[in-house]
Amino acid sequence: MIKTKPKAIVLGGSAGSIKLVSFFFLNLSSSFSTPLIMALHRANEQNSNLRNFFQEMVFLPIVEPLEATPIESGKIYLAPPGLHIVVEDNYIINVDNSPLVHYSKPSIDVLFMSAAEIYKEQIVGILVSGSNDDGALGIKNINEKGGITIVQNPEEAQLSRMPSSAMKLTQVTHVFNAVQILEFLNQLE
Amino acid sequence: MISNQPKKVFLIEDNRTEGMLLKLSLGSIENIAVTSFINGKDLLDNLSQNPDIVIADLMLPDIDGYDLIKLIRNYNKNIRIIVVSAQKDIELIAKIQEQGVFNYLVKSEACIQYLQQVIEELIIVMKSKQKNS
Repeated sequence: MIKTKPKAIVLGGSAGSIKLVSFFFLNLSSSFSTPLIMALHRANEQNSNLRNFFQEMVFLPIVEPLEATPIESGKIYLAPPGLHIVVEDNYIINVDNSPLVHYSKPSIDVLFMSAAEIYKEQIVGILVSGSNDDGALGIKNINEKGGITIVQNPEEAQLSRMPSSAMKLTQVTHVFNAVQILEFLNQLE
Repeated sequence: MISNQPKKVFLIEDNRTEGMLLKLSLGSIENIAVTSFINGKDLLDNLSQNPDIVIADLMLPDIDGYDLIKLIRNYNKNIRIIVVSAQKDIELIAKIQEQGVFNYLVKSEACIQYLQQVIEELIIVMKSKQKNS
């Protein structure tokens, strides 16, 4: 059990993450209400209907944030394709169409680092399957601010590089299989 | 004797996302210490820390980027300046180059990768100058 209820969860993933997130959504407890903010790498054109695809599976509304979108309980936020998302003061999400790209856009590191700055120890960062190193530094930042960090067990992840990179860079709080991540989410209420 | 002290890099970028992305791109370069600023005044106030390299944006909230570069050059001509900006105006780029900036990168998808390369090359140049002096 965790000591204090986190104010938000950030989740990042790349190749191999869509199936995993679908599994979470299909099995999420009806009492789950912590804001969940996701940056998933996807091709700009392909998967542009990802929000609709996920919305079929989960009872909570999924929002693709625009400028100054307030973060609210009972909502899931999904970074729009081709835009960075960043958590700002007063718990809002901003989108940024900067031409700068580090690994991918949206950048998981940018989401995680910005969330760590604002939420400090009241954030949970979850990094799952993916094929590059995005998210590793973000997980390190969340750790340093006292938040909880979870990576998908690299042995289970479809592509292990993303969780493995984070584990090499920092001591994560938990290395969980998909079922354990789901159990963690469902005990948050 | 060559100093193994980390090279001090000052980064000035008022856009939080872009500042984070630039800082991330420098994360894989060994032996540098990056300090970020979001306005010109704070950077100028800290010049006494003697940065080796300044990575500067041109569009800043409190000072024109061209003036900032002039002030840094006047303070210490040994500080290497790299500009990362969305400005593509050739005349402005020429004017900036005349101030003796080491490199000018236009913000683009490729620029982060190129910035890493530029900094790594610059560190090699600085070390070789140190060795020969």
